[in-house]
Amino acid sequence: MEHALPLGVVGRTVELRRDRTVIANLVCLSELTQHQLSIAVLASGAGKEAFYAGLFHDVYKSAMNWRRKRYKWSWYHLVDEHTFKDILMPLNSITRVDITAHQCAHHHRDDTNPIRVVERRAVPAELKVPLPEELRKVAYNVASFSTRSPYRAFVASLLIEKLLSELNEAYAQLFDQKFGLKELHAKYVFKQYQPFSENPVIDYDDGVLSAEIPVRAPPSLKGLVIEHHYLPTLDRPSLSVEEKHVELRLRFSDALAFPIIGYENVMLWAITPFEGLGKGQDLKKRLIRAFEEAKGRALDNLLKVSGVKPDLADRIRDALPDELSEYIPPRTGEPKCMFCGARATFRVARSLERFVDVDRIVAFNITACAPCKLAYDIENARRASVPLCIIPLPATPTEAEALDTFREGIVQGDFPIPTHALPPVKTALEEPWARTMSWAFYNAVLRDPDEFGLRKLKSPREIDIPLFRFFLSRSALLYPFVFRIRPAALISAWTTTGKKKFVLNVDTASEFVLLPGAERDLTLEDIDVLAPLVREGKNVLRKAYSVMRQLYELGVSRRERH
Amino acid sequence: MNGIRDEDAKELIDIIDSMVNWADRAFDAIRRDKWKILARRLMAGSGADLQEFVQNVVRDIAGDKIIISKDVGSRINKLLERLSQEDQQELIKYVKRRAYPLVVRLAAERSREEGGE
Repeated sequence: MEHALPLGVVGRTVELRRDRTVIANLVCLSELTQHQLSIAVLASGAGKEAFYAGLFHDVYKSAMNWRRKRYKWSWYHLVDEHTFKDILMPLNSITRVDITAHQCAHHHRDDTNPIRVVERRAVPAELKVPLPEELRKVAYNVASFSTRSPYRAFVASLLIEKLLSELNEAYAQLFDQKFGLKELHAKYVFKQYQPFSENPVIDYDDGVLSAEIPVRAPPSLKGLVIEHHYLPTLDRPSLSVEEKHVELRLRFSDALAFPIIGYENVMLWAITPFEGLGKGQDLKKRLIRAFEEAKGRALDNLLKVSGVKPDLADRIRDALPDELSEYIPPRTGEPKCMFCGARATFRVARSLERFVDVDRIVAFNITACAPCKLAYDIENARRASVPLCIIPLPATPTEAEALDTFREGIVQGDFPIPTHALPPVKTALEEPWARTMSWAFYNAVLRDPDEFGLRKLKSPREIDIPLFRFFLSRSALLYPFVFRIRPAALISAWTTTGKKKFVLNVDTASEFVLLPGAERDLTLEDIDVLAPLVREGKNVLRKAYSVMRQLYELGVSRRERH
Repeated sequence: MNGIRDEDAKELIDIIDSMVNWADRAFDAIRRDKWKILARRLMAGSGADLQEFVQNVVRDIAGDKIIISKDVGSRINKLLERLSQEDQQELIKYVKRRAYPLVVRLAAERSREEGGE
C-alpha cells in the first residue's frame, strides 16, 4: 500500500445483480477521467451537449460520498442541475450548458438520457476478455494482424505503435471539428472537505479544457496532486513523479484505443460513438474513415524509416496490408516464406549460409512474405544495437483493496467494497486504461522509443525511483483503491552474437515473461521475489536494477560486456 | 514444517557466497560475474540435505578456493538446528527456484550494509 504509485481516481465499481438484487459489488479498473472521456465519445452521437455531459457526468465521484442505506453501500455523486450548470458555465461558448447540466444531473434516472443509454446498453460488464461481437457495440476493429511467426508479431508491433499516433490525430480532429475540444486537462487535488462542499473548477479557453477536481481524501494524502493531460500532438506518453505531484501525459488514443490478443493474431480496437444515438452512426462512419486513412499513413511512416529501397518499399506497401492481416498459405508450386510458411514473393538473402538458427527455418529457401521480409530488413539494419520492441497490452488487475486511511478517515465503518474476494473487473471501456498501466510498468525501465518504436533498457542512473518501485510492486493507486496488476505486452527482441541471428529470438504476448534476457527471462515470479526491495532507498534500488540487468543479461549485448 | 522464509533463503546464499574465496587470483577473470555464477550454480545445485547442498554448490564454484570461518560454521549450524530435514529440502527447492531474484536482493541489500544507503 505504502509504495503504490498514485495514478488517478477510480471511476466506478461494478454491481453484479441477479433478479434485481445486488449479489456483489466489485472494484473496476476504471480511471475517472478516462472513463468520462470514453463515455463522451460513446454518447457523442446525441450532440455536443451529450459529449460534454459525458466528460463531466461522474465528476462529483471525487467527493467520495459513500453512504450505507440499509445493507447496501452507494456512491452518491449527483448534485442538482443548478450546481452542475454553475460549474459548467465556462463551457457556454461551446455547448448549451443547461442541457449538458441536465444530462449530468439526471444520468441515472431518465431512460432517454444519452449517458444513461450508453452506460446501460453499450457497456456491459465483462469478467473475461471482451468478445468481438460485444466489442463492436462500443469500438471499431481498426486492424487485425496475424502473429503466426516472430517476424509477423514484430511488424504488427511496429505498426500498432505507429497506428496509435495516427489514431490520436483522427480523434483529435473529430473532437476539434465537431466539439471544439483541442486538449483535455484534469488536475486532481487531494484535500479534506465535506462531500459536495467543494466543486470542480472548469476552464475553457480556445479549445483547451481544464478541470481542477477536488478529491476528498484523508490527511495522509493531503497535498497530493495528480494531473492527466490528453493531448492532440504528442509523440508518446510520459509519466513523471515528483514528491506529491504526479503528471501523466497521454494521447487521446491512449484513452480510447487498445490492442488485444486473439488466436494467432493481435487486434487493435478503437472506441467509437454508439450508433443507437442521434447522429452516432454518421460520427462513427466519419471516424472509421479517418482510422482507415490513419492505417495508410502508419504504414507509410514505417516504410519511410525502415531504410528499405523505394522500389522495394512500394512492393511491400502493396502486399503488406493483406499479407499481414491474413496468413495466406501458398498454392501448389508457389514458394513458401522461409520464416512463417506463408505465400512468399520476396527474396531475402543470397544463400542460407548466413543463418544460424536453422531450427527456426520453416522452408529451406531464401524467399519471404512481405511482413517477414520487412522485419528481416529492419532486424538486419539494427541487429547490432540489441533493442526491444515492447507493445504494452491491457494489464489484468489481480487484486484491489481500499486504502486503510480511506476506510478509517473517509467512510468510517465497515466499508465492504469489494464485497467478495474476486479479482477486479474491467470492461471494454477500461481496456485502454489497463493498457496504460502496462505502459507505466514498462516505461519504468525502458528508454523512449526510437523512430521505429524500438526501445532500450534504461541505465541504472536513468531509473526514476518511484516508477521503479511500481515496476517491483505492480501496485498503483486509483484512489481510494490500490490495484495490483499483471502487466502484459507483445515483446520482440534479439541479442547479438556476432553472427547474423536471423529471427527475433522472442515473440511473446506474455503475462509471464516480463522482459527477455540473454541469460534468463525476467518473469512475474521473479518480480514477486524482488518485490520486498520496494522498501529500500534509492541507492539500493539502483544497485538492484544494475545487478538485475547484469544477471539476467537484460538488454546487454555480448559486445558491450566484453 | 514451518514454511520457508525469504530470510532463510538469503542466509543460505550468503553463507555459500562467504565460503568462496573470491579474493583469490584464480577468480580475477570472472570476479565481475560472481553474482551470475552464484545464481547459476545455486539453480543447478543439489544435495540430500542442506549441508550437502552447500558443499556441492561451493565446490562447483570454487573448487578448493574455499574459506571456512568459525562464523560461517556457526551460521550453518543455526540453520541446521532450526530446520527439520523436510524444511531443509523445502529450502533447497525454494532457493533453486528463485536463485536469480534472491541473488539480486542479496547483492542489493549488501550494498546498503556496505554503506550505500
